[in-house]
Amino acid sequence: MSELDLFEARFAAAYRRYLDKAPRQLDAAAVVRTVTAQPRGRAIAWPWTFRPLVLRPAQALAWLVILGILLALVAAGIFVGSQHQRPALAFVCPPGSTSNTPGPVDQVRPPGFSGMAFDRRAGRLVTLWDTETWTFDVCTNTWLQMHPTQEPPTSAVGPLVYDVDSDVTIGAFGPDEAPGNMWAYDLEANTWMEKGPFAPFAHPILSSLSFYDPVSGRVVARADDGDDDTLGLALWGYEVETDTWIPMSPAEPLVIGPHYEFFAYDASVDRLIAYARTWGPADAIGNRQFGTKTWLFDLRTGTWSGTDAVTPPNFSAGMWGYAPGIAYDEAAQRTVMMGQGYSAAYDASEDRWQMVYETPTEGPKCGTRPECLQAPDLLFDSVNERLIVYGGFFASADLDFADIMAFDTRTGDWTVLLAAPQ
Amino acid sequence: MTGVTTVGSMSAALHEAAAGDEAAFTRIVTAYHWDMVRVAFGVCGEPELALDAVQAAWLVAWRKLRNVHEPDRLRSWLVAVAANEARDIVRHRHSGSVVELVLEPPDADAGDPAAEIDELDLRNALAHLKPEERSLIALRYGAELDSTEIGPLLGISASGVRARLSRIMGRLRKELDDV
Repeated sequence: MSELDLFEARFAAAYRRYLDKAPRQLDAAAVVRTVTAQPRGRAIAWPWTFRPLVLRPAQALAWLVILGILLALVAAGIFVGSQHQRPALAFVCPPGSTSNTPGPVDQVRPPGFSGMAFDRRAGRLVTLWDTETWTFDVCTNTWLQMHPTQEPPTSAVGPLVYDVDSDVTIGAFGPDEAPGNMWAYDLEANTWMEKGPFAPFAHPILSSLSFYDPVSGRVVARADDGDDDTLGLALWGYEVETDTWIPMSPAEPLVIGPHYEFFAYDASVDRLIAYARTWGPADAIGNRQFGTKTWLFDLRTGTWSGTDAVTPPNFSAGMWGYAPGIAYDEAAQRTVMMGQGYSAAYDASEDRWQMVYETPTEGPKCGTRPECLQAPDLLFDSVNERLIVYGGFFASADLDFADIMAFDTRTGDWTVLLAAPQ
Repeated sequence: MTGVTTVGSMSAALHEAAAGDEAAFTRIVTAYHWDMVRVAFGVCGEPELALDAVQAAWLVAWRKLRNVHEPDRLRSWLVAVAANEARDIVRHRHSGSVVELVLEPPDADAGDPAAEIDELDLRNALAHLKPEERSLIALRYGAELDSTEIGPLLGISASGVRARLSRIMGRLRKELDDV
């Protein structure tokens, strides 16, 4: 920590005096006896008070809650495994929340929305429409226009990424399609702060903010290396407090031939998961041979490793299809892809893909069920532990998807959070 | 921090207590109970709740001492456990402020940067913070941990700790500092 300024020193001194009024009495042996002999869930008296063996209702309730939390943690440790880390300061919906009930359909809402980020400290999606800042509360399924005093001066909204460390949503906004400057939105203070320029990529085409790296505590921007035949990346980490870009380990290019790929960061193995689809030359009647493979990228060393997982062939892009949605599902610890009537999930710890759903009639005949969505956007709602699905369209009905839905990949349940306006 | 504690003595106590030695655990309780109560009090603002939180923290500590592999981090780990327990108690007990807001008395020292901060003002200002924000304040200014110690305890980076503290202190400054 830096040296205390005058106010901080005054505060620290006053705070220490305040804490000195905390109760000092202690019978250490009694504390230890209580702790080591205590059967869980029984009402007890704490040794420093020497009061009767009676707990007030509020205290008893508090203890029940604590014991419940402890038991839940133990159970979670057994059933979920040690790698699923929940943020220490996680937000929870207040009692009486209606996160599973669709929000009022006649509510005021943004005219549209594209890039969104999930502010996990506030339990809200954050987005921009034109130059308006909006948030969507996942506990009540309602939109709120924020009206900060300053907003990014652009209508070109690229990806937004929530920076967990700094508790701000990060975006890069510039005139037209240019990356422009970095901006940080502090939801609690309802303030946008303009920062310096976007990452200094050598090949800025196809570069964008991509994901939050919990190891470095930085938001990472990613660019393709510009070579159609190589699986190559350029990565820069952005530290908002100092407004600086830090280059990450240079990627070791991997030649796999013509391809396209989709990425998501999997926190459970600290790797970028790449779903890559390659294609060979066309035969006489124009049919091409496709191959799909899953690759892992080690952010710390800049190296790729191929996996043996049988990779589903269903997700295509470019002139043969629409880019699927992809996101890491923290609750299920799987990378989920969705589009073209299919959803599949990759478990990196087991190196295995599993189909989540397959529509019996893919493509144009699929209809307007949520499974039929083309090119949706996905992001993980850490409060309700499910994916948020938005954007995209139904090819069969030539209809944009204007709902906001939630999808639990573990149960296959869809929940309408907000239906499209009438 | 309790003055008689040394890392060496606590290293042995930690090892023995982790193996189930209650006398060693008693030495740990004696050494760190007060640090934990102060931090819990900073989060709860109420003496009885702070004591309840610390008792719950000792229960956690007894069960998980084996997970503490570095004796010199025992104190920071214990105060963080106490802060977490205090935060949970406050959250489940009531979602509002921890102390009643009281009208400010006239402050003759207002405007003097060297003047002491009035305790009533301080309590009111702390009451406006969320429990997790009071946890950060308690760990930094109560337990006097630095950001590199707090970060791993809360699962965030040191820079993240600094950023949050800076934001919280900015708000406290507005409330408490007239300069």
